[in-house]
Amino acid sequence: MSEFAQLAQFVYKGAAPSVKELTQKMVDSGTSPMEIITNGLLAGMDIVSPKFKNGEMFVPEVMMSARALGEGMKILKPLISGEDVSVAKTIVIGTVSGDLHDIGKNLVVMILESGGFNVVDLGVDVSPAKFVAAVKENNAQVVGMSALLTTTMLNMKETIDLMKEEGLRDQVKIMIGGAPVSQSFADEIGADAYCADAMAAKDTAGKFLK
Amino acid sequence: MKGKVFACYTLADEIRKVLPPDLDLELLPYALHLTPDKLRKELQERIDADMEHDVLLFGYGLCSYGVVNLHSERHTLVIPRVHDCISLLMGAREIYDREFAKVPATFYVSKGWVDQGAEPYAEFQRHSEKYGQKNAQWIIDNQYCHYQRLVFIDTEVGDREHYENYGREVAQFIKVEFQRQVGSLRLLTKLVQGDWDKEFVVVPPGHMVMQRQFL
Repeated sequence: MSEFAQLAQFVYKGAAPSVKELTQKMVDSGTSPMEIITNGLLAGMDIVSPKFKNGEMFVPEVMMSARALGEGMKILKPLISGEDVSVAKTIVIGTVSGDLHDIGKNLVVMILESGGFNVVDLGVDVSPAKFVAAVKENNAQVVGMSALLTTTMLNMKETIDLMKEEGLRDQVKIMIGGAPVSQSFADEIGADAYCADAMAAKDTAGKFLK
Repeated sequence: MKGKVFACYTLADEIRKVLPPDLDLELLPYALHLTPDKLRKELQERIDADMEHDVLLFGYGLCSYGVVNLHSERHTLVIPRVHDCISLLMGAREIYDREFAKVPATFYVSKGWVDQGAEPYAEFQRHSEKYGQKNAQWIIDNQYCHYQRLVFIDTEVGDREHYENYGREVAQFIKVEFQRQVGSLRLLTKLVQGDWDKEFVVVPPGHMVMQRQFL
């Protein structure tokens, strides 16, 4: 098995110490950080995503995979900054008002960072006003919103509406995700994209920021 | 008119308490909402198989869209216009909304939630067996780090002191404030007594339950 495939397996298995060790070893032997991310860490998440969707993996296991991915990113992030990250490409992300769920959102943040994007994570229970302020402050081009409850997902619409009011809507692309939302919901509230999982979020952000 | 109630086991004690003798009751397994397609399939199969009743009542809410698209050619379907069973246990969607506005960071338990192990401490025990205690603690810490209180909804069923004390322990376990809130069977009573006003989604035969009816 190649080191990349081995690293992907470690991420999938949630073996954080092994990911840390192998990532360091690969860095030391001169492997390019972006290659380690793409062909190792993210390849591991590519195994996780479908298994989670079809019920072969559960939330705690995905959390442990994310933790393992994070260990690798801790080593790699400083090495890619400056080289691949453009500070002009900023994504503001958060879980909407009233909603505290952040496991999926945190994974999205990590995956976006691994894609070289500059991510401003606003955390949970983020009010429309906070989103707007963050877009202005960071001159963001993409906004990501997450909701896990049918009671809170309408706050995505509130946020989009406030961006319109503030004249920011044309400046940003808005992507949304979370268990209760869908493509049709995205269309209904006027979001630019629905992302079914973290990898889709990265691909979508990539298209928006090309 | 003959009627039957399909309800989640989470509400078993509460439903039995208000069920009139002329209504049939069938309880479905806990936590089907975690896979909403499965919940919908289980309910639709029961609707399709039923030839004995004219009205089917649901001890459910929107429940992660588990009731969306349910339909019947022969029955009227009646579902409380709530997002989930927390509103049903509190007695009204308004009460839930009020509590939610006060402290969104609340984990709710009731007798049914505790009985099925749908609370952080039971989860911790299950995770410990599967992933080891250290990982289990890490998982729970991450899942519940934003919560600020745990509320036991007391609907006056079962050994109330036991459940209240248990709730207190779970609150301690995730390091949040504990509160006891008086529940109410008002909405479930209205459901089984045919008092279907704006608080209910009433779907006549040949129609379909729509998501927007709940939002």
